[in-house]
Amino acid sequence: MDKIIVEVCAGTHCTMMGAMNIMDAVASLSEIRKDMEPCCEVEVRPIKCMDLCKNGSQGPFVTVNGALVERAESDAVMAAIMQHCSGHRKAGE
Amino acid sequence: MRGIFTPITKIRRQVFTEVARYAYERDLTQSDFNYFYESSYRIIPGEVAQYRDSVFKERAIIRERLRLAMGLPMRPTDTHLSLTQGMAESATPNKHLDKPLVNVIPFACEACPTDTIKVSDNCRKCLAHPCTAVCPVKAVSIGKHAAVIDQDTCIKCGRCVQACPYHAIERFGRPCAEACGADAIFSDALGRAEIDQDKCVACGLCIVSCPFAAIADKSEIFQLITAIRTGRTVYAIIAPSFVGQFGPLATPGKIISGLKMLGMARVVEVGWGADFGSMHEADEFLAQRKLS
Ligand code: FES
Repeated sequence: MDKIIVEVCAGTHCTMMGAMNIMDAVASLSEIRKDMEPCCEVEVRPIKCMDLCKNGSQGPFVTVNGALVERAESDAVMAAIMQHCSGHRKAGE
Repeated sequence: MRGIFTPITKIRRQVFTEVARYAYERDLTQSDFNYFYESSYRIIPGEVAQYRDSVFKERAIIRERLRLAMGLPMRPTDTHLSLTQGMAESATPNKHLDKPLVNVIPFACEACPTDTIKVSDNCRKCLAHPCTAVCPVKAVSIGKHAAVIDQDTCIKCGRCVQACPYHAIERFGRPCAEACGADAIFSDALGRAEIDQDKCVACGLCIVSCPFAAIADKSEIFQLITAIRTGRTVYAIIAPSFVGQFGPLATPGKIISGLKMLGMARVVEVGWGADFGSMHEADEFLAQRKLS
């Protein structure tokens, strides 16, 4: 089974811009997806400030298997997860 | 929308961030507030509207929110007044908030319909159409494609809502008015929500209920930061609900340390004051008993 790692920045800026909500939403949506397409597992982890907020760009910052999502919203993160999910890709072919 | 992070939460925080940043960065010897002209452009960048029909309107709303966040009243929509009017005078730790605390930003209000019963496109124009039979005032008729409710006749009893086998008749109202327990929300001449300030208890439920972020409250964040920066001793008196305010990762210990790092001399929970209140009351009661 594939494992998709979602890292959500839990620094001050990102938290204020909704990072905690993204963590909750992604975790609960992943649960539903696991039942639908049991091909991959999503792990959501909080991480420390990535210093991306220091140069003026806007968070929350999330990475999905290393790919950065800026100004993340839970739907954009879910879309990125689905791109990394092999089962979903196959189904879409 | 409590508990869900929506663009409203984001805008609210962006406004507070702008106000707090300036409170920290500004030169205390000067009273220059031109910074706030730029704020609405930082919050609503570019030329394409994100939330409403135009960026100009979005920015205009942000500007009123900035004023409220500074603890100032909104400006009248029909007369010219500078954005920074009153800011210099209110930028002191001595400023107290003036009523009204909760404000509808009139041009942000979408004038949602008040209590309405409406047929949705779930209606299949069924043969039984019990909606017509149960209406006590004959406001429901069967139109060409669906049931039709004559809004002038309808007395909003809700019987047709119950009777429809397809859940095709819905009742809905203004989220702000539905949330208000004090029945303080009425309509202005343009059908927009307005708050009866004599009834309003400033509970803030309408603020969190409005899906268009048209209601905002005043804050003292600027004055608080100014107090800390000018060396006043500031105590944080926090509501017991602080425990749940910052998500599961923030423990009470972390929150309290955070507040102290911001410059609070001490952090106490309001309940502590209530304890003292009751002790005082008890003493008074005993003293009175002894007298009589
Ligand atoms: S807080 Fe997220 S990158 Fe700094």
